[in-house]
Amino acid sequence: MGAPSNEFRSTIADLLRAGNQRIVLNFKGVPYADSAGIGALAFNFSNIKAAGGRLVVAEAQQAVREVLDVTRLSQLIPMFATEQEALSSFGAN
Amino acid sequence: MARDNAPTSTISPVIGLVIAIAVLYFARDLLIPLAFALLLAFLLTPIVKRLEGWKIPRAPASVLVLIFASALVSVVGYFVATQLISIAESLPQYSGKLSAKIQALEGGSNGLRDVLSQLQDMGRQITEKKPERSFPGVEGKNAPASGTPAPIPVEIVEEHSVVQAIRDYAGTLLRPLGTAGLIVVFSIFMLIDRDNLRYRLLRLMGQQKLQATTKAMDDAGQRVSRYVLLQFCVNAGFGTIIAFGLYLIGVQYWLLWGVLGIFLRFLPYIGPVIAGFLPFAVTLAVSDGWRTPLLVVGLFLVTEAIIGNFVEPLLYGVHTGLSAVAILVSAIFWTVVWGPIGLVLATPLTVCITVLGRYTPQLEFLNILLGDEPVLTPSVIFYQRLLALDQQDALNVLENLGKDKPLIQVFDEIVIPALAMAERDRHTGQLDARREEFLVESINEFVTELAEAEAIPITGRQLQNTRVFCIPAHDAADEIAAAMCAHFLTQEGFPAITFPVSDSPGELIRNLGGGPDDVVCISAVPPFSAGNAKKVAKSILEHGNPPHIVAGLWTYAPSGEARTERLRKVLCATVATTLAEAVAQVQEIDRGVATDGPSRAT
Repeated sequence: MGAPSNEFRSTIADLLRAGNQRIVLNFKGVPYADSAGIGALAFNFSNIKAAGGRLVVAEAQQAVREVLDVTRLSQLIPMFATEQEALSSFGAN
Repeated sequence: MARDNAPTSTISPVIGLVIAIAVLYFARDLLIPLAFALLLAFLLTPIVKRLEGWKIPRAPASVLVLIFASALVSVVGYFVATQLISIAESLPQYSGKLSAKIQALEGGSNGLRDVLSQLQDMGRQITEKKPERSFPGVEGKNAPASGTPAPIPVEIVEEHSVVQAIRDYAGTLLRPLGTAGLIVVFSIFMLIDRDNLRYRLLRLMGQQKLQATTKAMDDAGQRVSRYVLLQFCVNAGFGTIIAFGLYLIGVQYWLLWGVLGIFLRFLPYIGPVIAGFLPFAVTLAVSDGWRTPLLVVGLFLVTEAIIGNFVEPLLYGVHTGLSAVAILVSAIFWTVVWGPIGLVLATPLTVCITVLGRYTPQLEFLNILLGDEPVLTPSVIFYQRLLALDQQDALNVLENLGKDKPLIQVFDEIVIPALAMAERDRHTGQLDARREEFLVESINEFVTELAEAEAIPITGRQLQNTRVFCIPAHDAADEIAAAMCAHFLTQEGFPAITFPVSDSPGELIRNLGGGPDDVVCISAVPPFSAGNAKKVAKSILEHGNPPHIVAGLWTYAPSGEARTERLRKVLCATVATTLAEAVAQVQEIDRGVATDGPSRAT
């Protein structure tokens, strides 16, 4: 909830509108995610998926990982230890 | 037709008010005893009822109680009168001490002494100078010539006969005696015939208003009786403290001042001043120094300050149902209309008028103006502060209520109703874009701030199995309410996710792997909450393998069980109207109690 979540949501929407369908989210600077933050991530994941694209997460901190685990989103959204690995995953596809 | 009626409906209350005030003023000779009798009846009815309980018939019980009350007043009156006469007789012997004190005061200032001296001289000259008498009809040439002796002034003195003396005294005494007699007669009538009076009043108000009139009469009776009893107790406490304090200080007639304090304090505002001034003036005359009179003043000031500021607001504020301003205004009004007696009757009469306003829709303004009940609910105050673009005040409303209530209740009782009011105004075009944006952003900020302050991190906790998706039905207001719901679900250990408004909520849930193990909580703020929630529920159900659905129709008040059941069927969901209810329903689903959950049943 709040400004960061809204900003995140609109940034992804802008990227999608610009035709970017393969998106890496680097969560290195994100210490924690609340229900609205996770909701914005899940919402964007769903939109990208519906648009035929792919969203992956890189460098998620332990707290964020745990939230993604308990909401079972980690089973849907691919997570990588580094940004490089995340980018490489697109190449593999 | 409506236009014709409009001016009449505006003017009628004003004319009615003017007529009422005129009647109060011109019929005061009759109404004052009547009001006093009513007050006495309120005070004495409980005692009469007690006697009736002891098998004493009502008429003798009423007369007995009234005789006892009159005797008590007479004894106290006789005691006070004799003591006051005794003081008045002894005062001249203390004039020397009083003069000494005044001289001591003057001694500090030569200027003051000079001014006083000049004033005394002037007064002497005026009194010594004999005014020249003019004789109408003897001016000019017919005026007495100089040197002739001045005419002797003649004063006509009426002969004092016994009859004349009786007439003079009777004129002074008969009026108050007559009023007292009227009060006694009215009181007896009211005490004996109270049931008959009540029935007549009920008949007068109309049988269809039986319930409202009965409530009004009970309410007025209880409030006034409680007020009179409480004031008597408070005044008795005041008088006791004063009497004891004066005794300790060593003031003469301490019992008299205490008793006077009890009765004078029935006069709001000026009563304690008069009660304090009398012993101060007497001790000033009697005592040698300044210490005792100043101690007397201090005793009255401290006692009155404690009782007036702490004891009375605590008791009367709750028991009379009048605001402090109403008590002040009523004191002024009744004093203007009925004189000093009006001051004594001000509070009980205003209580009766306020109660009348509470139960009579046409006179509701009286209850709003004079009553002490909050006229706006916290949610309306909160919304109004946001409309005035005053974020800090709005936050204060939330924080003040939050001191006594859990956050979920604050959100349920203030924030969500305010969101609903904003939505309603937005839909009717009464909320401009600037205010709407300010309102949504402010509430969003408050909710985030307050929720974060009490948030328990989801990590490192034993969590529930059920995942909850909080989905807004239509717009930003629904989204804020969804975030609130998610917050409280997270607090209860549910992995909750709040989504933004989605065009295709069913697709969203499907993409996230939502299924029967999950709960979707649809958040819908009025107006059109049921319709919007239905669209979301339909979208989710269309995508197969649906989760349980809880429809949060915030502030919605379905009337009756049948309507709730119909809503449940229409929405294919369990219906919650508060955040607390929604949390409870998710918990119930999680426990597996709701084995025939609505989403499965359809």
